[in-house]
Formats: sequence, structure tokens, C-alpha cells
Amino acid sequence: MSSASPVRDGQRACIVGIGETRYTKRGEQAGRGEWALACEAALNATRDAGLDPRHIEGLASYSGDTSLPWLMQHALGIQRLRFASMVWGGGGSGACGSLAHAVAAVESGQAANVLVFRSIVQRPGSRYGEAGGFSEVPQIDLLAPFGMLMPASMMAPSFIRYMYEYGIRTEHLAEVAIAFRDNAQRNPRAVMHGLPLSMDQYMAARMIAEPLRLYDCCQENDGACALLVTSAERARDLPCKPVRVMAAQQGGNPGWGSATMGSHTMPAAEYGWGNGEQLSRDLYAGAGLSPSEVDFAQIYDHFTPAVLMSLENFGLCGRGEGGDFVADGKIRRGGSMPLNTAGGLLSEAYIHGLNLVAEAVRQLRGESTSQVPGARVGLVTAGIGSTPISAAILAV
Amino acid sequence: MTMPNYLPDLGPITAPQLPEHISFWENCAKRELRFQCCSECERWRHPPAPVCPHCGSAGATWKLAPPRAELFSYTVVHHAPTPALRGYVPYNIAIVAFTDLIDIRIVSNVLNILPQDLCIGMPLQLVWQDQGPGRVVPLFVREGAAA
Repeated sequence: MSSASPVRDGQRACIVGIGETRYTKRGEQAGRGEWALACEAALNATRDAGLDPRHIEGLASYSGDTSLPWLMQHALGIQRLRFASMVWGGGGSGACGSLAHAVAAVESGQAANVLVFRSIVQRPGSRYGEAGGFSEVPQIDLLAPFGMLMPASMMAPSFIRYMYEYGIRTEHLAEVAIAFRDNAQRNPRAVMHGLPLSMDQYMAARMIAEPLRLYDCCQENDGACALLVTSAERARDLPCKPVRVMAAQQGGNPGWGSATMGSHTMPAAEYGWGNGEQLSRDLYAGAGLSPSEVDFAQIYDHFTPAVLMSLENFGLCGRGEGGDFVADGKIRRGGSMPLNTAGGLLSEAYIHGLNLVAEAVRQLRGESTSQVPGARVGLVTAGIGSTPISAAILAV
Repeated sequence: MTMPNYLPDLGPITAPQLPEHISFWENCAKRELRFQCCSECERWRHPPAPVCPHCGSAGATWKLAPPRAELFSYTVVHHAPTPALRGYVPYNIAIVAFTDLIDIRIVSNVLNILPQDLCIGMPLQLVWQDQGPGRVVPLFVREGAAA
């Protein structure tokens, strides 16, 4: 593997620790609160890395996480805080963006050990099927009078257009939901562990916003996830198996400035496809790798059609081929491109996508509950819609 | 007897937050669908923005939307996102494109149509509905159909 990065090898960023809390249904950890969950995940990540939490030097999060840097400094006893970053945007499109910030901090020497984290306790009144969370969206006046008030209905027209243009069928969406649920059956951390999903159950579920049925939409959960990023030379002194961040970037195609949360004015040719093409190009170039070298992927699955679009946007199959690609079991365990091996956001938990990065790390360490034999390179994506989205390529 | 509104007035969440949007809604109150057009390069833009994304000019005039429109995409919402909409599901949300205007679209609803009759590319015609105090919304019907 070669790399286009000008950073010297010892300075290259690695993920040396992952930490999680229990993942539960929405509301079950409300009594503890987001700060407590963030700290638990952080301590699990530092323990995993074999690092003293007081030696964290940087904090990176996204989606307006409420565990503010001074709260984290206070609770974790951080001695030398040198870097703190918040990636703009709601939802999970910043999951790999906050990793990108941590990588930049480490590789530029701004901070040695950077904690990337996301903690969520889903509040009553801001459920994903409710309008409550959108009162602060600046262009909401162009959507709300027409009843467009939840993520499912904001994304659905692009999915309808995608299905219309490329002949994608409901059965293709079902395969994504069922394949990820199957992975969750092997993962005891998954909220949907012990609850397999059949095609009949999928089809019988209530419609949310066409084409999205209930099981096409991600869960609502409480939990926190954290990653510890440091340099390759520091990683040598730690007891863990470092996972290299080959590339982590934010991006989004031109013309997507007023997309799903605005007036849906993204370029017509991409409306039913997604805004990941430019990011994908930058990402593979940054990593010095091609899509054919990817062994598995953790794809942002807030909605099932977004998974098919992302497969195409990130070059794992050709444009318009997402439906056929998933139809014959390629994305399942043992397939040629296993996806979302812990169950994904649909069936493990919706920790705004950071748990997808954690699962990629597990795969590369050989610790997944749906392990891909010999996995060396993994792709992680975050979002497909409002700009900026983000993605990362990890490798061992 | 007047026709019931397609959707009810949802109150404060529908109020413009950006000053750039105020003229758009003032024009709607006059039952005129107008978009910004750059005073320098004469290209249209929407949603309203303080400068032209093509040439950077801050000058803009508000030009009437072309009369011909079509259904670019849509969804049918079955899960009411707020209690006020519970009696209204299933309702459609339309993404409407305008003939001869590249990449200008608005979010709207199509009146008097069954969900299964919505189809991408169908020609649409603009109608207006008083949704609430001071709020007139641009909606659509199938071309040739009565509002």
C-alpha cells in the first residue's frame, strides 16, 4: 500500500482504542444522561488503548454533542487540552468528519491523543419521527408548510427518484434491512440482538414515508461511542493493535448547498443518487487505494436506500447497480462485500454513525462477531445528503 | 362552503428565519411565485441567497416563476410528524421543477390526487391556498384539473 500523504510515517494517525457504553432503546439511559455516557465510552476507549485518560490532549465531536469540552476536561482530569473541535450539522454525517479533525490534529502535531466521541440520550419531543428537532433549521420555512418535517420525509423524494431512475425495488431495500438484522443476531451488543427480521415482517410493517417502511429507518437509541486517535510512533508504546487511518475526509458535491434540508435544488442528475462522488474520489486518492482493495464496508444506514446509493457513490459497484449488487447475498456474511457487520444503525444502534467506525476497527483487529477473514482495508461512510458528509478508509 | 386546506397552519415553525426569505413569502401573500434573478449575470437562484452563486453579485430582482411545472419527485407521508397533522395522513409532498429553469425546485403538495396517481414527470399547474393568518402557500394540481 502506498500513500499520497506528505505526513511522515511516525506521525500518521492510528485508532488505538475504541470504547462504548451499553446500547439501548431510546429513553432507557435517560436517568444517567449524555455526559455520563460520554465519560464511560471515553474511559473504555482509553482502557482499551492502555492510555491514562488524563493524557488525552484533544476532543472531537459532531452533531452538537452536549458533552462540552470543559465538562469532559473536568470529568476526565485532562491535563493538557490542546485541541477541541465540533463538526457542523445534525445527524451522523459528521461521524467521519470528527475523525478527520482528530487525524488532522494528530498529524499536524497540534495534539497527541485525541478522543473522538458521540453520546446520545434521545429526548422526548425530539424523536426522529417528530418535527420538534427542526425548529432551528434555517430553511425550514420552505418545508414545514408542506408537511416536510422529519428526516424520513426529507430524504424520501430522493429515494423515490433513485428507485425510478434505476429500477430499484422494495425487495432490494428489504435485503439491506434483513442482512443487517442478521448480523445483529451474532452481536450481543446490538439492540436488535435476538430479534431476527423476516421478509414477511418487513413487508407487513407500517409505511412511514414512501418508499420507507418502518424497518427501512434506523433506530432511536441511547448510548455513547468513543475512539482514541494517536500517532503511529506513540502507538508503538501502547499494548493495542493500531488501526491506520489511511484517509478521513469531509466533502459533498457542488450544488448540494440547499438539498434535503432546503429546497431540494441539488443538480438533477444527482438528485436521486447522492453527493458522495467527489468525496469518494478524494478519499481513495488520499488513501492511495482503490475501491477494489476494500475488504468490507460500514455504510451509513439511516435509511436502507441510502446504503444502495452509497455503494454506488463510493465505487463498490457501478452507478444504478446497487439493487442488483445486494440481491444475491454479496453484502451478507461470507459475501464479497460484507456490510455493517455489527448490525449497523438499523440493527446495532444509532449512535449517529460513530459505532460504524468502532466496528470497522474491530474488523481490522479480527474481533468482529461477524468477522471477515483476513480483513485488511475497510471503508466507513457517514451521511449521503446534506453537505458536508464524510467518510474514512481504515487499514492494518 | 370552501375547500378544506390540504394541510393546516403549523404556526411558528413555518415562519422565515433568514431575512433573505421574507420577500419570497411576501410575494406569495400576493399570490405571486417569484424567484431571485441576479442583476448582473441574470441567472436564477432558489432558495433565496444574499449573493449569486455564479458571479458573486449581491444585486437581485424577483422574477415570476415560469408557468409550466412538473413533478420532479414526491413522497407520501403516512406517519404524522406532529399531532396537528394526524388527521391529514396520508398526504403527499411534491418536489416541483419548472420547465426551462435548471435546478430550481420547490417543496409543495399536489391537490386532488390519489397517492397511486402521482408520477414523476406529470405536468402541474400552480394554485394558491390560504393556510393561515398571513400565510398563502403555493400548491399544485394536475395540469388541466380544477383546483
